Amino acid sequence: MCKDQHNRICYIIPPHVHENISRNGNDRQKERAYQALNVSAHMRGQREILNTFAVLATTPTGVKRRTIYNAQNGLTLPGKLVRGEGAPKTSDTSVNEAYDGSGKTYDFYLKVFQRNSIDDRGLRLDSSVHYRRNFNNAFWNGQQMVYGDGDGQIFQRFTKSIDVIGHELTHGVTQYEAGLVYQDQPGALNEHFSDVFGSLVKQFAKKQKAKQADWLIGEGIFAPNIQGVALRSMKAPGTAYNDPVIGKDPQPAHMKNFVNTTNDFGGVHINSGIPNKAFYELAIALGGNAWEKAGSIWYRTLIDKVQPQTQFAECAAMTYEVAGTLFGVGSAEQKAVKAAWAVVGITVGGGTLVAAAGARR
Amino acid sequence: MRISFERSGGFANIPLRAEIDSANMPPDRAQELERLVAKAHLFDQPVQPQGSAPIPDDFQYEITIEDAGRSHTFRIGDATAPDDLKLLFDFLGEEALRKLRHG
Repeated sequence: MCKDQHNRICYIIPPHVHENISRNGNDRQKERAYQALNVSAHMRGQREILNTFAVLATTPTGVKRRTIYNAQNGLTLPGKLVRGEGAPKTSDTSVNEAYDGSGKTYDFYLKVFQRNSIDDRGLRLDSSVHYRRNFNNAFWNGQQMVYGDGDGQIFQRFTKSIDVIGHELTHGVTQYEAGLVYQDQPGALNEHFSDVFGSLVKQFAKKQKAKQADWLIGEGIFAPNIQGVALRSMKAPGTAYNDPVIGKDPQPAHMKNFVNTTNDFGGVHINSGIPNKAFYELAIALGGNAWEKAGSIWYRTLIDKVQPQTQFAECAAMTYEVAGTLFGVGSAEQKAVKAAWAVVGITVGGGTLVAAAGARR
Repeated sequence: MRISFERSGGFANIPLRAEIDSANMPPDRAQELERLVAKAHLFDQPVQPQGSAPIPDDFQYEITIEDAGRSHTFRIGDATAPDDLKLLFDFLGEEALRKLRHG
């Protein structure tokens, strides 16, 4: 490690050399140079360094690059490199699940939306498993995915459910695109988009139509003695679990039950139930594969319309506008979007809401 | 030493609350708590999280410590907390779950 406190940028090979290689070298050299840049920037937590080189370091569309680390139950991230792209299966289930799940998420975004990884420039997908001891969580730290093993009493390992992996990676997509602030309604929308695409990753991988899907988030990660099927239900928010130890699923399915709280960044995992339900209603109304029509409307909304401070009603108006662009103004699809939001108590299609959303841009 | 522990957020957002009193703990656990608290400099923690933007699915903590006539309350996110605080949070989380299950 760098010991020179005065020189903040401290590489084994100076960064301009990596920059040159990543521009002029052969593919293998480019890959290594990019990784060195990535790792160095990663270590110092300096996102802007990465952005500087991002254009140079673009990976061709369709080239998956996954790296799985083992945090070995410690605090240090990313931990020990245990499986890179193309390497064979290991004996560690968490490692293999993180590898397969991030691969399926990459494939989903590529095949359905022609998106080349989280940043649309082929960003390497880094995951660390076995983070801390009995750690009951999974999160996206701005640069990579981090998974705990669960304590075995309430949760099992968080890599077990593919929609959890899709959810975490989508936080990365949202960070690069809409930049939704993780607080109150914009934060609940951030959670909502992660649940939507997390569920769609699972449906796409299982080739399920909207009506066949379970619409559950985190199915199977509760320990066996917990009374619940999953963490959240998009189909029926508030019904995923009801257990004497951990309590009851607190998600509302309608604006009249919106929860005002200061916990959980203003209830971002609670009020996301409202737009989740609206998306489910739309997907069922349109039928077929949810990722095709409903997913496209939501993806283009996230990429082209949503802003850091977008509120529920504004987001609804944006999906309505996007549905009009994709399928035609007054189309059955656009009408279905309006009807889906009405189910959760949000009115769209009025001039005021569209104007308000437009004024933000 | 008394600690009021409250955790919210996380991917699962299952809230966890407990009042933890070292006087009611087995001596080895109480000692471990004292050691972790001393290393984590609880009384020096800023009241609100400083600087960085929230991290998606991060645990949020609200902690009140009362010790030797002093009291201090602060809120902080897990991912950006110093390692010594993370170790204390893991210990407190374990205690809170134990109390939740066994009353």
